[in-house]
Amino acid sequence: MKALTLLLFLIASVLMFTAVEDLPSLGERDARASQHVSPRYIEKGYQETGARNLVTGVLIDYRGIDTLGETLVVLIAGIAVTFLLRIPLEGDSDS
Amino acid sequence: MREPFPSEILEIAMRILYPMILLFSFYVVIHGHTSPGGGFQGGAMAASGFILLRLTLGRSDSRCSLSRLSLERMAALSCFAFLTIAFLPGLFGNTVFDYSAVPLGMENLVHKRELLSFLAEMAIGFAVFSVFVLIYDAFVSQEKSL
Repeated sequence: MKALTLLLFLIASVLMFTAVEDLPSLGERDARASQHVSPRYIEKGYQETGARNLVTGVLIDYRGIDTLGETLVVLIAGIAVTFLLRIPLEGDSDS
Repeated sequence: MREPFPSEILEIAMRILYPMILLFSFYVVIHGHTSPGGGFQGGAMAASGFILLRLTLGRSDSRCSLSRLSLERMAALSCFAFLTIAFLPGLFGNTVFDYSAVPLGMENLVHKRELLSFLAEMAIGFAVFSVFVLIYDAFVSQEKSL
């Protein structure tokens, strides 16, 4: 079992290290990922979102639904914690 | 619940740090459009300031009287506000988050978008803040009196 795990680990790491070679370097202009929507975000970001900070522009406007979901997840987490731990409603008055 | 820890040093350090943390968190939320920052980060910072207040003074002190009910209301209302801002353009025949058709009496489209997404950012900040403080209170109130 241990030998199998080691073998799988070796295969996976060889695969990953060979794949890393083909990744585009950081900030490369001709990379596939920076060809699709990034130019539009950079060129029209301020006109379309009103945010000079591109990250905020993408976060709050282009990918707004995602941020909405994140906020709801945070809210649901809070509600779940209060229900699971059963805080009394008059949290200040008891003891 | 645990009694407040009576320490002059902690209280004075808190008195210096607490306003700074709150001010900086507001700065981070408000300047999220021009510099790194935003609702999540600023809300977490404000929550850390409030948690510092609760750690040093204890929950029973009147200065940190944000009860569970008001925190829950705040979280739910700010999430609702964000939802409303997000789906507001739908009422005027646009897609979600496209504020160009919302009638605000503003000529400049960029300013209108900036204003509405800033409001959304504030809503996120308040939601994150209240939920974080709520979770802290939930864990602390589990503690039996020591």
